[in-house]
Amino acid sequence: MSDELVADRWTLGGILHTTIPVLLALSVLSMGSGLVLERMKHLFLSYPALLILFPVMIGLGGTLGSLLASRLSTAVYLGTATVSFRDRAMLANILAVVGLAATASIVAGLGAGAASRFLPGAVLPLSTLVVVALMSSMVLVGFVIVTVMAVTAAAYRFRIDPDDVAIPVVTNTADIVGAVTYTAVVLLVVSP
Amino acid sequence: MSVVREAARIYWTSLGVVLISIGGYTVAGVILGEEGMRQAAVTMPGLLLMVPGLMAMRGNVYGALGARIATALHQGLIEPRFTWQPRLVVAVAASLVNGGVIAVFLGVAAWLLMVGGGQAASLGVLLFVSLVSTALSAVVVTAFLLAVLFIGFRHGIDPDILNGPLVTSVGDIAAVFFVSVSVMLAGVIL
Repeated sequence: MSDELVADRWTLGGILHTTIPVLLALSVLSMGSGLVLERMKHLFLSYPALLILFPVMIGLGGTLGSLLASRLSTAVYLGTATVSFRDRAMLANILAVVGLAATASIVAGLGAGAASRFLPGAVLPLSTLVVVALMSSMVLVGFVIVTVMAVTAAAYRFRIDPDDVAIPVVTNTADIVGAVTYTAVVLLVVSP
Repeated sequence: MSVVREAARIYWTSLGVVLISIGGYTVAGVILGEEGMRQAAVTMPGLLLMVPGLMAMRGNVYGALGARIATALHQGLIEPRFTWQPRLVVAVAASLVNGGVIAVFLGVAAWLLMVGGGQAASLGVLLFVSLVSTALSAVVVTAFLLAVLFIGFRHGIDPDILNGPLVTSVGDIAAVFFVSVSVMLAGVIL
């Protein structure tokens, strides 16, 4: 990287200049999932298990997205991978992330079910929770993979440091996609 | 390199921390679902509106900070030690400023959205909760993040794997936990 790019990266003004506009825009996006939560309060408050699952379902995308984005930016920087569906290292990462999403949602569904039995409120069958979690996460992980690849590729093309933008963009968009997907699946499966 | 075998390697290396993060989210979810918070959700309109935004800070602010530190460690620009290093100080200061700006924005925006939608809400309460919870989280999560990345790096663990699930999940729990703490404080002080 050129010297001026490196120097800018490490001044307070330089960092804030890049990050604050992006963060404000993304905070606006996050209000989207907040609105979903606030509006659907009645549904989530009556089934504690669904409320327990909410952070998982919106956070899982961000978790896996950060993992993928971190690995991808380092790999591209070191030259061990390229952002392409034909790149073997990229495919391996994609496959791993899908597997992690499936495992995580099964465990989360079971965990939320178990924990909810200790809280006052209506109880849902474990199978329902697992199905809801799996369906939501599979949609979410697909979105996350495409987003991380697109943002990383664009960042390199426009000479922006992917570490500054990839993780914020993927976690925020995954939050809102996760919230909307999860709510849609819940409405579909739990209250037809 | 077999794609499937490499995928399995990445999967098994990351599974532990991903499950830890699921545990973290579940704890955050239980805090959200327990009686006190559910009541607060009803009595403090706009509270739930802010929650995803406050949790989003773990990616926006701490995740980005962690990625920056991780890359700098790989590049040799930062030492994995708690010493006064200009780059380290600047990165942490930037994350604190970012957190403060977002906290104010969320409080005001939540209030505007509630009032705009025809529901009464208290700007003072919302700002108090978002600022106090953000300040408390910032201290705890930043210290934890740096400790994990530094110690991990010194032991040869790839900071990129630690940064994703482990740090963001601690950020999530901290966010919701400190929201419940500030909700409690708001009830007492305001």
